[in-house]
Amino acid sequence: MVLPAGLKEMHSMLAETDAHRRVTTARRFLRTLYMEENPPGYMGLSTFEAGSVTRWLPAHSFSEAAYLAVELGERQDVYLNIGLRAEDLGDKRRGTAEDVIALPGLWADIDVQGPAHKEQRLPPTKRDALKVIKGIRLSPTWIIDSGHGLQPHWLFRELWTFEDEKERQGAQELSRRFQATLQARAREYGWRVDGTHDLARVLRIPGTYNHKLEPKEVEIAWPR
Amino acid sequence: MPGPDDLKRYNPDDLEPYLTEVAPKTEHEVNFEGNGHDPEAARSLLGLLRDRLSPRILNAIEGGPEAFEPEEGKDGSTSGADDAVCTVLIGVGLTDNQIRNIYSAYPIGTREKYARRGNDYLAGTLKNEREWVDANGKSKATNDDAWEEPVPLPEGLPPVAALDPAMVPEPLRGWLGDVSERMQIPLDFAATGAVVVAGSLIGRKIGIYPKRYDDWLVVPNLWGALHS
Repeated sequence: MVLPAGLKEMHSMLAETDAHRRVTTARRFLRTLYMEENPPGYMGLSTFEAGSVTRWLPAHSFSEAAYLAVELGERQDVYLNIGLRAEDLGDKRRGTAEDVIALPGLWADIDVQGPAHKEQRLPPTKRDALKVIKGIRLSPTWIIDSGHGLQPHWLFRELWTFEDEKERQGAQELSRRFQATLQARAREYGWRVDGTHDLARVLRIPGTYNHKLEPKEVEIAWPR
Repeated sequence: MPGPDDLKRYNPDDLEPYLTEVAPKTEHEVNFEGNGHDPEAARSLLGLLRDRLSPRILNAIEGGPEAFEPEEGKDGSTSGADDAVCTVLIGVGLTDNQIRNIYSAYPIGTREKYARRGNDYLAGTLKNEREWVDANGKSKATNDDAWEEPVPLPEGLPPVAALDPAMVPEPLRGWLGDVSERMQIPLDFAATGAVVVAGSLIGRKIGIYPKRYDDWLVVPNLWGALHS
């Protein structure tokens, strides 16, 4: 599309404004997720477009991470490694659950039926996905609309920083059982929910785009 | 999006009761080594102590550290709850083993850090609190945690004058008398609400000039409350 000069400038200004809004969304999400001014360790932003690449930033770098996520997310899917790591593992390493030192909460990733997913036994709609979420009778902290599904988070009152390996294993087991509860709920309806309980799990970031099919903005759907 | 303080958040242990899959025993099992873990004995002991502990301490034992309500200015953290509970239990004469047994059977010990760290942590708290109680002779948690014998409440009600129907504004009198009779309630109940509502509807439309030939105007505001 060719735009006249004035309209072109306006279009560019609007695009900048929209990017600014999305950076603000991402920053607020990260700050609220990790709760503290100075969370320990590093957070990782991963992309998989040209092989797995992870950028590690000090976990308190909310603004830098938000800018980077929105910038990377313009043309590709970008994900947050929700568990913090003790050190910068380098671009080529995402690390494993054993490297996670702190966790902000528990989560689920509930895909819904549609052209973005081959699996047929998914909840038919996002409204149906809510029925699965209600399998945990505590309201989630928020529900992220990832574009083709919902990602509810149940955040902790304070960042769960593991004091030792046993505590980390306890968190892993709690996450597994938590998702097993949601999966059991989904089975009652004849649906399937993927297990995403691994502490090294990556999740989408509000303010970025889901590029499967037509780009859709990842948003905090609830509460507004 | 609401502010961070308005969002719901949980302790990891808050989620536990909502999970349908039981945890394997090797993970979140409380490890109170060598204390003769005996939940039945713990329940019996707490039953005997119930009248000697304040609701604040009982809530913390039975509801877990998150149910602990500190006194104003006191430590409300998990450690604060443990300090308060341990000093009170020491103060009423329990041995360390008896306290460990209560911790192993009630949420004060089966949630939060004791659930994860077990006996070593509790041993440290007990040592510190017992030293403090020995040095100071009482619980530092509060002065009122050791309750005195309760005094019976006074019986009977003070005399309350009945509302004279003549005091109800004439336009409302018949209607309110009818309401109170048919609902079988004192006239006061119907009249208080109605008169206050009427006052709020009138608002600033009517006022009183207390001094003749003066511009001092008072607009009455009417409040009402019922005690029964």
